[in-house]
Amino acid sequence: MEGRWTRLGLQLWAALVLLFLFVPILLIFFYAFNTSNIQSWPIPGLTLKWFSSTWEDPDVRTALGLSLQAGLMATALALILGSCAAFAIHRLTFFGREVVSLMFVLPLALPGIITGISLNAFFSFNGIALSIWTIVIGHTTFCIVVVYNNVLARLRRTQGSLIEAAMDLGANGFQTFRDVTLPLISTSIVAGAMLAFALSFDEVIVTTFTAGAQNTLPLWIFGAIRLGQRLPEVNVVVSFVILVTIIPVVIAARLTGGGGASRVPAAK
Amino acid sequence: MRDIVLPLALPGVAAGSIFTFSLTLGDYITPILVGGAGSSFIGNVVYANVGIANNIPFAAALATVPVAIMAVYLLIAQRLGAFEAL
Repeated sequence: MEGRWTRLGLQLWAALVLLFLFVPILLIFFYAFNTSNIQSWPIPGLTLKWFSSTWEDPDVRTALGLSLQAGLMATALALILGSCAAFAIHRLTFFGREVVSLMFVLPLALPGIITGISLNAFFSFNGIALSIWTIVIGHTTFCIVVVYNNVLARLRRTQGSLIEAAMDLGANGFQTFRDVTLPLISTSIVAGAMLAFALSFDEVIVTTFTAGAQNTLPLWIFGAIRLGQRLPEVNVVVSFVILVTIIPVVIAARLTGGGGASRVPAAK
Repeated sequence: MRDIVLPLALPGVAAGSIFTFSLTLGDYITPILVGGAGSSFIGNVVYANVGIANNIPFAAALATVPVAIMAVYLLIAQRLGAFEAL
């Protein structure tokens, strides 16, 4: 269909876009090994000293602990709520189903600052002190979406005849779910959990509005960059966050087959 | 291309644009870090009024602007069939 030059042009363009996206990220990795604490290119030499000093920084450790806790709890909540919602939307027909379905996806389509400020207002209106729990609630709002999208997409692709066959052969509702439905959707649940954790782990905006005095890792990075302090350590932490975020996303993409890990196919 | 591929891809393009547009609309991190002086976006003003000036009513009022913009945007996207391609 396409001529040789069109193909070549598209390939070149794609390569340029990828470079534009990933060269700055690669630069961070190089700076994390920089012997000098001044960021300039080319770097004078390679060292591991920033890794040990970052690891010994109590602020970073506390922030890492909080990020991990909040991420795991938000993922767990999102798994339960998101997959239940996906089952409800898939199995039941009720008035306003499309609207409810849209409302589940909306937290991801709204700017984070809206979610953040409304949660913040809600918590202070009800006299709820900001803590790790408010962070978890804030993260859960958008983590639900990825779990919901993944599980719903899988449910729509799953043949209903398999479940009917299990029921015909005498399995009760729980047996059917455990032996047929769950194995069919398990990879989509794992993929949803991976993406949810990755989203939660590098979230800044909603976290800013729902965290009290605590710092998650991204908040620590943001604060340190703005004050221009401890920049070598920032490079180390950023490299770490990038890895922790990218690895689950890659696994999720593998599990759902192809890159469109969070997409819902049009087929209904 | 113009008569077949673009119309077929349009719902997907609209669906993708919802997320990119909404992410840009509320973001204050990027403007603070790489924006330099005079980069006051909606997100920055809201952020400054909640965190520093403690003028929450003003921040809330300003935050309704992106909500309204997104509502209109979502309606248009729905017309283009974006929700089926979400």
